[in-house]
Amino acid sequence: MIHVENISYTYPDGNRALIDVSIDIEEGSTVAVVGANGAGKSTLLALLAGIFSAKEGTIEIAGIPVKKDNLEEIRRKVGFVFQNPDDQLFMARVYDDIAFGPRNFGHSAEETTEMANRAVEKMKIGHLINRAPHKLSGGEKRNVAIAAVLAMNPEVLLFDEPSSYLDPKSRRNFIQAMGTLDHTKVIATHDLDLVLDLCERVIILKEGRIFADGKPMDLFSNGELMEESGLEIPLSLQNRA
Amino acid sequence: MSKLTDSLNRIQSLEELAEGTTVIHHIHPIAKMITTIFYLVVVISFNRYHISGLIPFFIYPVLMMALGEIPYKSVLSRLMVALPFAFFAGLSNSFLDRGTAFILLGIPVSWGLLSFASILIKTILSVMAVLILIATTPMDRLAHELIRMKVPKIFVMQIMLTYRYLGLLIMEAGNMMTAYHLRSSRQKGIRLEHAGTFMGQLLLRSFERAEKVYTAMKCRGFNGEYQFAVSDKIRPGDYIYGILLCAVFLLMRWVNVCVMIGNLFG
Repeated sequence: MIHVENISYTYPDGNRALIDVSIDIEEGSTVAVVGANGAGKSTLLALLAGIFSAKEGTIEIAGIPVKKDNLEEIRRKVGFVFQNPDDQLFMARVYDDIAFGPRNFGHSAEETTEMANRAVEKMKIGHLINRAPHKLSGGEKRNVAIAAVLAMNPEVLLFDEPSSYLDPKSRRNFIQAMGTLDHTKVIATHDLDLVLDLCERVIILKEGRIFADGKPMDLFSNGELMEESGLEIPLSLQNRA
Repeated sequence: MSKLTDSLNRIQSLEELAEGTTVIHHIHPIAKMITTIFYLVVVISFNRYHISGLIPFFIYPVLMMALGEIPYKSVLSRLMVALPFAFFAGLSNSFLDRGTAFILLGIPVSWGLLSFASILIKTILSVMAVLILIATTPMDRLAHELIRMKVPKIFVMQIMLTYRYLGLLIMEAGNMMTAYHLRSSRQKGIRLEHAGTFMGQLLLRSFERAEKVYTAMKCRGFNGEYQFAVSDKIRPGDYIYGILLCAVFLLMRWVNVCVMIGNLFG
């Protein structure tokens, strides 16, 4: 579903965020991208969504190259859930925010309503649709932001730090909701316990390069590898030891 | 809660009122817009000394607030923002136009005082009518109807984005003010030496925030054209509402209801 080949990205200030990264992600899988601050996680997501365009290497989503000419098609296939829901939700009413994507993609009023209602039902936020986004709690905002992306019927979901701004209960609800989504999911996060709960594969980035790639349990229980990559063994595994 | 956050909530609470389900909320936006514009034109058309003719026009906002279940307090508190401008604009008239118009209970009332009162009443009526329109019609639908009324799309887009951007700016300023006050107890407002940096930071942060919001919009297919929800069809009831109210306004413009009532009891 996602094919990344020898991608490199340098910010205008000269900071090399990604260096020669190649990844293949199968359809329907849930993959985490972890790493210390500045490892290149968010940059990788931005490249996958076509927010940044790489000068070196290629990215394909469902066989479509991510490049300027294909951006509309890519955006139909890729849903990006931002780290801060306040960056994503800007309409006066939750429902209008959820319908924003389908309307932009030219769906009719009936289709838009149907798509928005399906997303609302999926995220169980029917009670919020007439409320103002800025008055919701962190967990509610996160659910609305996901529904706003789900309404576009994307094939791939990208999450940037999805558990930030969530209290423990909201985090648990989020994990449950994620379990019901059968999309291909890429999650950039520092929350390694969330990775253990949700992902069958984890890619560890270090200074813009792939440092390790494998099953979360295998990698996270390797103390030496975790130390070297600037991470810590998740609390749940520490307790087990 | 900081004053800025409070302002933001007040702006957005009017939008929440617009999601109501009363009979006024169900009237088609275009009927409400045309009626409001007609009302404004009629109110403004009165000459500057004409007060008795304006009084019956208070019936419209009072009736709309009652039928639309709009709290009087929320409209009146916003009206207070506009009144000082009208007050100072009208005040000069009472000094410049000193000729006596009539004597009321032995006190001479000048033409200037009459025009001062007329400016205040016209402001109150006009601002209330516009606030009622906003409180009973969602912003997106108003924008859509403006486009249908052939207002250039670029202007409507500017209005919509500015309106949304204003919210972001107030939110950022509110957060910065809170952070500032938490580290400067007993300080009211911002010290002059910090004001420049504060404004500069606010500008940079709001640019950054706006950039993020715009990126999120692009990720959901935004290509520079705002896609508005399609409005319902105009029903016969909407036509009747518009025609009836415009006719009543016209009637009240040509027939002075106050004088008529006065003659009845005189």
